[in-house]
Amino acid sequence: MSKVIGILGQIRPECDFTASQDFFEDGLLDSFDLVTLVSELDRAYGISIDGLDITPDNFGSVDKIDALVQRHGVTP
Amino acid sequence: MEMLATWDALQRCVGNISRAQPGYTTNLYATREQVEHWCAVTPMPALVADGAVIVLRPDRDFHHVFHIARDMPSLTAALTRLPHGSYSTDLIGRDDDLAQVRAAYAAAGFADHAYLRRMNRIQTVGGHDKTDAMLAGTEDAAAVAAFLDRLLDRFAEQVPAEAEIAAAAAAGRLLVARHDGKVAGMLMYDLKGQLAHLRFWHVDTDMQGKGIGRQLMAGFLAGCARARRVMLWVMGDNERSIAIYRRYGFAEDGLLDRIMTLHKDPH
Repeated sequence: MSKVIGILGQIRPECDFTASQDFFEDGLLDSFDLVTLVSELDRAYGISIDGLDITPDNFGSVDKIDALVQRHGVTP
Repeated sequence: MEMLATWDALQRCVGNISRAQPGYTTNLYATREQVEHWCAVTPMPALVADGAVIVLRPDRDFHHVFHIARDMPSLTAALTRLPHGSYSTDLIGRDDDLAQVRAAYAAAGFADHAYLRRMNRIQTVGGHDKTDAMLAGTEDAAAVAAFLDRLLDRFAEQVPAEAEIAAAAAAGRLLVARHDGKVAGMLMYDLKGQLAHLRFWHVDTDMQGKGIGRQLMAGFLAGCARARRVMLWVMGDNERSIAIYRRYGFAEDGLLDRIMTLHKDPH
């Protein structure tokens, strides 16, 4: 399993991310959590996610986040 | 100035400012949906400078300032080009992380105005029965808007327009207490999935101490019983309100909103 679930759990330990198909629509993450998530992903994977990619659409599920990380040439 | 009428127009403006730059800074965290909504109300002016874009959202007699910049010097240089008028910016983050960007705004003439602290309440889902007590109707929107206009600091508190208040009422997210036919207290919130956002909870000064606030909060917590987390922003130096929220189980999470303002005269 990618590191993503662990990172999400650190940001919002009260939430069950495995039960959601859209973290933002389901209210598990807010816009400031997204900022934190991006910073943590950058650090965990040694990447720099482009500002244009920082939208809820790209971070709404583990699969979407994994896909974004993979686009940076890294295995999530 | 360019006028931004769509999310895509905004992306085109900021597209060449790379987040990979070591000094990259932004305070624009709005979603596409939010930006499209703002643009639908009125197109937003954007000041495009070397290495920075300043987006201005009109609000009453001033503008909210959002920035995207490759570094702090570019940000300050762009901010100094703002035309005369009144401006307010929200710089959100942990206090240590905000020092440089606050200094960049200060170098352009912005001054500290107020600050907000974020508080969260993590709650067990379920438990309360929803109550319709105190739910407002859309016909209450004008009175609530006037009430908030009178009580709130418009630079610090993103005072909602009457249309937004009416929409909250239509969605069952506005609670009102009346006394002698006038608004004595109100509570307005957003609810999205498991996240509730308590946006405004106010009791008129001469009506405090009568249990109105308690009733409003009870109605709110009943209305968002299925939310896992309830979030709010409170004026940072309002120790009385912070203590009240703590009694309801809210705790600070370290996130601050530092509000800075600039009033630039033509002379």
